[in-house]
Amino acid sequence: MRLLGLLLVAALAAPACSPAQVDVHTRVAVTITPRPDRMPFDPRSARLASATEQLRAAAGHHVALDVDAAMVPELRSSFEEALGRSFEAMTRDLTRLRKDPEAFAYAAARLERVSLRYDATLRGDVVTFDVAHRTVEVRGPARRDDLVSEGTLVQPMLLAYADDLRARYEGKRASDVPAAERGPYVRVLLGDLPGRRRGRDVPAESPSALANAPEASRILTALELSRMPGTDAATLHRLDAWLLDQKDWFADQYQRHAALVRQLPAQCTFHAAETAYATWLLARFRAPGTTDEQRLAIARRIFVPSYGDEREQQGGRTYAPFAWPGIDRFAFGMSVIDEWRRDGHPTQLTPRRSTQTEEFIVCPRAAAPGGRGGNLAPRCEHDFYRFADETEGGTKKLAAALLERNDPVLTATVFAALRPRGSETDARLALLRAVEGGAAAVWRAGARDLGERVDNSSDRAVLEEAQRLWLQAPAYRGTVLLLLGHVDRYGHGNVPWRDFGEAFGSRTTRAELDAYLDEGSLAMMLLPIVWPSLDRGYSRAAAILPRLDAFLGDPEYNRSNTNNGTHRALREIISELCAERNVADLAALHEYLVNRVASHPGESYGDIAEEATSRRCNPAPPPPPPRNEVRLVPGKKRLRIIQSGAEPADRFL
Amino acid sequence: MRLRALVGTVALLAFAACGGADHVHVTNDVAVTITPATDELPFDPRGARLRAATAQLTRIAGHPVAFEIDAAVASALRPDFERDLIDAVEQTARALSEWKAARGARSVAAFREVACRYVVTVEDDAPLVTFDSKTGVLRVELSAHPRALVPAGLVSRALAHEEDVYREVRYGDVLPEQVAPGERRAYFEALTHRSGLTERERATRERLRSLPPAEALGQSPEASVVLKVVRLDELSRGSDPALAALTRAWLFGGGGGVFRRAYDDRNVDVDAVPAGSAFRRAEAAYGAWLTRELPVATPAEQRKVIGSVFDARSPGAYPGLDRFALGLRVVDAWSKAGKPMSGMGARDDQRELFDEVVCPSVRDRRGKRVRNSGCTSSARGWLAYVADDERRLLQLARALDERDDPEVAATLLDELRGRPGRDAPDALDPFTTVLHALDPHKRSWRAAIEVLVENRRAGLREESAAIWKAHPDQRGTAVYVLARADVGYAGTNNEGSVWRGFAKSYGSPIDAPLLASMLDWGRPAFVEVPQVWPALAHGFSRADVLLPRLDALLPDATSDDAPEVLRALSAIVTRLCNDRSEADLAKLHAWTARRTASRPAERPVLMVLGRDTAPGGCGSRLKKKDD
Repeated sequence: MRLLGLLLVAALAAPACSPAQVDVHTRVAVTITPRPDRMPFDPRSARLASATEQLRAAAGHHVALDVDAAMVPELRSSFEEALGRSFEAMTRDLTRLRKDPEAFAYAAARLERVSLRYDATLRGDVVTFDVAHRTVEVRGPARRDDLVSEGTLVQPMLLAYADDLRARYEGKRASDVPAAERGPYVRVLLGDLPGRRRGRDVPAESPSALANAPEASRILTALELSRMPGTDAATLHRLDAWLLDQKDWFADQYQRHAALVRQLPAQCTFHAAETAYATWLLARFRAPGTTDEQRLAIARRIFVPSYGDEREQQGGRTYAPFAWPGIDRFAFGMSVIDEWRRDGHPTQLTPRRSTQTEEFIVCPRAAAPGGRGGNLAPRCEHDFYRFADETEGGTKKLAAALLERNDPVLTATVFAALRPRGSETDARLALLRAVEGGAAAVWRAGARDLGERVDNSSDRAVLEEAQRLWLQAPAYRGTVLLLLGHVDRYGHGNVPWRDFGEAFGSRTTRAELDAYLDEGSLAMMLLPIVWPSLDRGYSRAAAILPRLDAFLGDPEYNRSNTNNGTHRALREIISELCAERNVADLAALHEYLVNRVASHPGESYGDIAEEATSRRCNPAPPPPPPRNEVRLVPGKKRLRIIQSGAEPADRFL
Repeated sequence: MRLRALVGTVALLAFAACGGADHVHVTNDVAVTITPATDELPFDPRGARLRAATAQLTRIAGHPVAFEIDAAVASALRPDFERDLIDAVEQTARALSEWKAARGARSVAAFREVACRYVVTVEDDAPLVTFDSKTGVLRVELSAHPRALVPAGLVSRALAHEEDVYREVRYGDVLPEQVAPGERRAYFEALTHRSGLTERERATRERLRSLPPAEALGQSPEASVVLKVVRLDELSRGSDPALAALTRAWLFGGGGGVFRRAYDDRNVDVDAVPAGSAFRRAEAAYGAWLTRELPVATPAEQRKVIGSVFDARSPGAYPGLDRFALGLRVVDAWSKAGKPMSGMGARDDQRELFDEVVCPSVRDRRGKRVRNSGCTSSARGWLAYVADDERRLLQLARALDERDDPEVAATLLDELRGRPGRDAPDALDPFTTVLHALDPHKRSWRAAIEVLVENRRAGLREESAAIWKAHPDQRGTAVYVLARADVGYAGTNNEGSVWRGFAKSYGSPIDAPLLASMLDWGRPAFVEVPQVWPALAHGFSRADVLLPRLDALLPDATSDDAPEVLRALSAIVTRLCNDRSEADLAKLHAWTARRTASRPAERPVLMVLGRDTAPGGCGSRLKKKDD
């Protein structure tokens, strides 16, 4: 038996009267089942009237509320309050549902009644939407804060809509769906169903499972849909966003399921999706609207690394050789590099800063004032260079790319960014050898970078490469000499300077000294190191003096500390000239320095000018004894040095 | 005096509170009795909620359930009491509904009445609830101001306790053989599903607590349960597959817990447990059961027990079960499966089992073995069990020799290296023990040597000397091991202490056959040749030993991995120059000439070597530094 307690306007002055049913003057009703003796609320309450009207407005039609009498609060005022709050909550739920217009249009039209039923065994509400009966049923305990609490309607209505979508579209082919229905179809396809969390992909556990992975099929369908004319913009946007995320799915397969990917047959859904998706991904990377963040994310996924034993199982390669078969990863990296070149080699310190994608692929060095390379590329992970290193013929490809571009800045950047699996020196030597004979500027930029990295190196491989270059490529000798200067930067004997002619085939000629000094201020700084290699018979000053202005004006070396930089270099050059008893060159240097002080008042080269005279030269120190002929002899209380060299012993007294 | 008031349908209740009758005639299924009777009913028996709740309770129980409430615990305020009463009905309905679904209808069918009694000794927040299935009464003992007439959760607890008592009475002293086949399932449930302790069990525990630990363990009730379940498993196999699956799952699951706890309990000397005790009989039965079942167990089942089986520190744990063989069987299964790595992707029990026992790893480019995650075999798994005892280590060595599979040997020994046994004497070095026991003519031994030189620096000199002494035909390996010991590279001050004194220390210098034998270790040995140089004997051509191997060691001088060999070759040229070995230099020069002629791409790489090995070329070698 039921009693309909009518809200609003009229007619309910005597709600507790005996008739089983009362005339209803409005479409919105509160039903109490079974009928109580007295109406436990005032249906004319202004709040209820307003709330029900707003609910009607929100739903687009009237919605009835059917309350189990067991759930009605004892106090009339409590029930009225509960009723009011329930209508407000339902109205808010419907308003919230409007955020998903498709779900709202479906579910709100089918909601005619909310039924509350008491279940003594339940601790919380169980809510279902019976679409056939157009009723949301709430089963739950009697003691409750709200009859219908906020949020009660949203989930079941969304789920009902989701069920309807699945019933309509699941298993359908994209081509069978009219253009106007692609929006909801795509929601089913992408698993973007309202009211449900997107289910986590179940990882494939066998090659056949991965070969026919549902995700791959969905990707193929999504790509097909994105190409179909007539799809609305919102659906295309949804497809695009979803497709953009699918790079992670492929990367996950390469990274975590490499063993399965390696076993896939050539013809399978996975590979079909992979190829089609790679094409789409590249196009998306280059699309005008793609943000730098999106491009960086794509680039990272294209160079997805493997780790640990997965890496070893693919021959120690960091980047799975089978990944992204539709993408030439080397060409992709070079395309970013070319963009970077077109942008003017930006770095983090240039006015137009490098993009995150450029940082990731190119690893541009931010050159500090003075030209020395720093490394301010936080997103640089050297992936492109590691990939090139481990690719068959990668060094040759990289060399060819550098020669083709003939860009010294790029070359220096590439040499600096190399991070091979093996020795970095060996990788740089190999790349340097590969660019040899091509554009001289490319080779020179590479050799200079190599030099910076082999300071004070006793690595025989570098020395022998320098020997070979000296013999085979005379045109490079200036740069080779700079390289050797680096190798023995601190004068530890890493280069056989005194036997230079024997070890290298010839000593440094005037032209080679000129070429060497043309390498810049650093060459002048290292000149005292390479000095023993200089051949006799030509003026050192003639080569040095024309370049001294540039050297002394170089802020990188012209320091206030007179024990370092230009001061130190000049003193050591003077010392070498003294050792040679090169009076003429000393005089020329003296004159230059006197003029320099006159023309640059305030510079502190006056003292050095005074040192640059033959009168101030100290007698040449005796050469040290050959090291391999000095022996330490234990067995006595004191160690005694026995000199058994060819020189007479009294020379050292 | 009692007043019984109807709850439910409309009629007949208007007079419920009237008069001094002991109780009111009940026309509804559910009755509420207030004891003693009050002048006025403190609730509305026609209240819709109370009627609905009692109707649902009746439906769940299958019959009416009465509520008898001591007036002393009834709230004086009518609305409060009504709420408490409805709450009590709801709690009872929920509890019976859940119990019926989970544990069956027996207790629910017996449930007739809820009796709420005031007991002065009961605290407000500690009511006592008991259920007597014979009378069907749930007795709730409450304080004068209870928070609820039927507190949440206590009905289920009372039903569970009653169930335990019921099962104990029915099955407590019954042996599996005495149980009718149709009742075995219930018997198994009675053995393995307990919600708490019965009075009898509590008394048993008290008694055991007074005994010495080993004697108490011998009488362990849990061990008796294992014994019964093992027997039940045997009885049900073939006749009751469903029950057999349950007993098997229990024995592979929590069933072995009593043994695991006993073996790990440092306060109990398991060896002192009397023979013939319940524990001993259960232990023997369980060990035999594992011995029989593990070979046919699924990987998931094996995983459930291997952790505790291998981690048990008691030497006599799991009598009858060959724990070494158990682990070795997993190793063989791994080998047969193609030695899969754990990988990062989908994992299954089989792979997890391999991971836990074998710890698969692969060699990287530098020869180090790597894997993606840690593993526990050598810490508390099979390898730890093996490492604890010299006899087992020797058993492992024999097993490796029998298999003669270098990958298996390298994988296991790499995991074993550097790990002392958990409870083994300090002197026992598991890796060295196995290495010394391996047959030096098998591939397993060579794999062990590779693990040794790749991962250990300390002890290599001693190992080299041991090999030199014990295996005269493996002295090349001894030299190789010594070279990898990093005992002082040529040109450094301590070079003389090892290599110059080699002949005196080892009894003879390194002659041509010995050098050749060392070079059998391939590229890693070749790069050590310059270091070994001072120890080479006079009077043999180094080039004659080196050159035949050089093409194999340096297949492509322009490849990424060539520089390591080229550096060694350059250092050898320097050595030859210093020795003024013109004949050997000439042979090396011929080799470079042949290589550059046949492979023009190698010319840049080999050019300086060719120049320096040519007559008079030594002049260009660095004079002031040795290589």
